[in-house]
Amino acid sequence: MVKYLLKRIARSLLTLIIIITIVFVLVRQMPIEGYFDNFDKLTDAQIETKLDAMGLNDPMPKQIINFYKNLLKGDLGVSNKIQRNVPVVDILLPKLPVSIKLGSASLVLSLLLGIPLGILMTKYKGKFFDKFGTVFIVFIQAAPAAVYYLFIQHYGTNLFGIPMIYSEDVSIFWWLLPVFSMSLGNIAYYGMWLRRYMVDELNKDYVRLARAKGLSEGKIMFKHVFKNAFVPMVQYIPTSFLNTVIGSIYVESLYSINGMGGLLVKSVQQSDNNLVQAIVLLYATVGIIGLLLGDLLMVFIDPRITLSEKGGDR
Amino acid sequence: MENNKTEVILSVKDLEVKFKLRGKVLHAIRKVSLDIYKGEVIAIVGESGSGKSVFTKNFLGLLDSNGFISGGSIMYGGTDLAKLSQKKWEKAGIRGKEIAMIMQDPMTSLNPLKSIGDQIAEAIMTHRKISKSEAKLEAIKCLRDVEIGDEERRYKQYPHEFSGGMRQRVVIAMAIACNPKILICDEPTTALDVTIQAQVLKLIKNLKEKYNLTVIFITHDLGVVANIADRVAVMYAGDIVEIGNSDEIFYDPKHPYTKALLKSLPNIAEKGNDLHSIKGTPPSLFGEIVGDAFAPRNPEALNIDYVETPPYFEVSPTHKAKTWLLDPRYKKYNGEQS
Repeated sequence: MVKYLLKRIARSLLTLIIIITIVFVLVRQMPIEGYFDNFDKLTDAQIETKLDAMGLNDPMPKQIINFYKNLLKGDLGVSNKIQRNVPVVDILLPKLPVSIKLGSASLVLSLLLGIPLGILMTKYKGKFFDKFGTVFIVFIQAAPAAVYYLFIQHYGTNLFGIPMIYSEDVSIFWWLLPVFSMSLGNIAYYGMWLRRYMVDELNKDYVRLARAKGLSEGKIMFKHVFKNAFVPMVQYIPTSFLNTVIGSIYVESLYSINGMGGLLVKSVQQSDNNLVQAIVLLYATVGIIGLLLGDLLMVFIDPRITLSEKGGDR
Repeated sequence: MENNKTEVILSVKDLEVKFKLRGKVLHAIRKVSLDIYKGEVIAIVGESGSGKSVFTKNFLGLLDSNGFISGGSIMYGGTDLAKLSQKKWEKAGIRGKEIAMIMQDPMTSLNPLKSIGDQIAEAIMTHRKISKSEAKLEAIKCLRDVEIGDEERRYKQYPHEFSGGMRQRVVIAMAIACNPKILICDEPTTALDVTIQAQVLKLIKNLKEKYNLTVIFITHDLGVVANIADRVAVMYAGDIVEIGNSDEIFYDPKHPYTKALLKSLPNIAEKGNDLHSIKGTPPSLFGEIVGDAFAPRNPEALNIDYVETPPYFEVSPTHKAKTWLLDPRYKKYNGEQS
C-alpha cells in the first residue's frame, strides 16, 4: 500500500515536471519585451547584455536546468513589469492566504447548501421543490456568472447597508456576499449531481431489500442512499475547491479583494513572463494535489477501492 | 404436517392491483384469492409479466409507487395488509420481522459500501432493542445457519469479497435474522448457476425446518418447483388459473396453460425434437379481459372461452382450476362426441 502510494505521488510529480517544462518553454517563445520595463529606450547592445545577464541567451536545456536549480532554492525570479525587481515569491505569498480563505469559506457554504438541495430534490422528486431546484440549477449553469455576481453585489450591499468594496475594517459579515457569489456555481453543481446519484441509488435492489428488511424511509435515505451517492462526489471536492480558488478572479476584482485572482490575467496581459510562469506552476501543483487527494479520499470511503495496482470490480 | 396445513397464516381475498402507466391503467392482478397455510412451501409459477412478483410484493407493501391496491384484502394475524399506508407499514413491524423477502439478484441486493455483518445487524436492530454487540452475535449466528464458514472474519467483509452464491446466503441470513414467520423467495436461484442453485435450494429447505418457516416461492423454473414445493399456484395474466398439490399439478394438470407449460419442459421433450413452445404472447393487461385469458393462445379453446371467464372447478379438495374443460356440461358434451 505504501509502495503504491509512493508510486502514485511520483507519478504526480512527473506530471508536474512535464507541465512546468512545457510552460517554461512556451513562455520563452513570448516577446522579450516582457523582461524589460523600459524596452523602447534601450539600445540593442544593452538589451543583449541584459539578456546575457539573465541567462536568457543560453541554450534551452541549460535554461531549464537553471530554472529547476533555482526552483529548489525557492527562487522563481523577479517580476519585470508589475512590481519591478520584486521577487515573484514575495508578490504571491501575501495574496495566497486571502484566496485560500475565500475558497475554503466558499467550499463549506457550497456543501452546506448544495447537499440539502440535492437531498430535498430527491425526496420531493417530480414535485414542486424538485422543479424549483431544477430551475435554479439551470439558471445558475446557463446565465453568465457576471450577471448574478453584479446583481448580488448591487442589491446585496444596498440591502444590508454594507460597502461595495473591500477595505481593512470590514466585518466578517461583509464576506458573506463575495463568498455566496463564488459558491452559487458549486451549490448548483453539488445539488445537481447529488440528486442524480441519489435517484440512481434509490432504484437499486439493495434499497428495495433494505425496505423489505423493515428499515424506515429516513434511515434508508441517509444510511444507504445518501452515503452511497456521496461517494462519487467526494472525488471532486478537492478539485472544485481549487477551482473556486482559481475561479475567484472576477469576484475578487469586483469586490477589490487583494487575492490571487486577478494576478494571472494582469501578468499575462503585461507579459510579465516570470510571474506568469510562477502562477501557472502554482495552479498546476495545486490542481495535481487536488486530483491526488480526491483519489485518496475515495480509498477511505469506498471499500472496493484499495491502494493497490489492480482494482476490484469498480 | 397435515395438521399444520389446515391453519391459514395468510389469506388473500379478491385482491386487485392496478398500475398507472403512461396515462393508462394496467390491471396487474385481477381478483386473486389464495390461502397460504402455516408451514407449507407454496410455489407461484408463471411466465414473465404474469404478475407473480407483483402479487407477493403486496404482502410487504412494496408495490412500486405507481401501483395501488384497488380492491380485496390480505389478512395476516388480524391485520388487513391491503389497507396499510406506507407510514403504517413502517410502524407495523411486519416487514422483515414477520414476513421477510429474498430477491432475485444477489449481486445487487447488498449495499456495496457496508460490511455484510453491519447489514445483517442493521436488520436485527431495526426490530429488536438490543445493543450493537448483541446484534453482532446474533448476526454471526445467522451467518453460521446459512453455512458461510469462518463467520467472525466474514462478518467484517464487504459484498464484493463474496461470490454470487455466498452473497445469496448473506441475503438469506438477513431475511431469517429476525425469525420471520413467512419467507418470500422471489426467484432466489434464477441468477445463480445450476450447482449453486441446488445448494441454495437445499439451504432454504433446511432453514424452513429449523425456523418453522412458511415459504412462498416465486419462480418460472418448474424443475425448482418440483424440488421444493408442497403446493403450486399457476399464474397467468394476473390471475391464478390452477392450484393444487405438486403431484396434482405435475401429473394431472387440468388447465390448458398448465398443460402447455409442462409440455414446454426440456427434459420431457425427446432428444432430436424441437422444444414445445406456447405460441403467441400474454394478453395486454390494459383492457378488461373477457373470457379465459389464455384462450387466444390455446389452439383447442372452446367458444365459451372467448365469452365468459370460467369459475374455479374443484378436481379434488386440494386441486382446482379455472377452465371450462372441467364443467360437467363439457364432460357430457365431450362424452357424446367421442
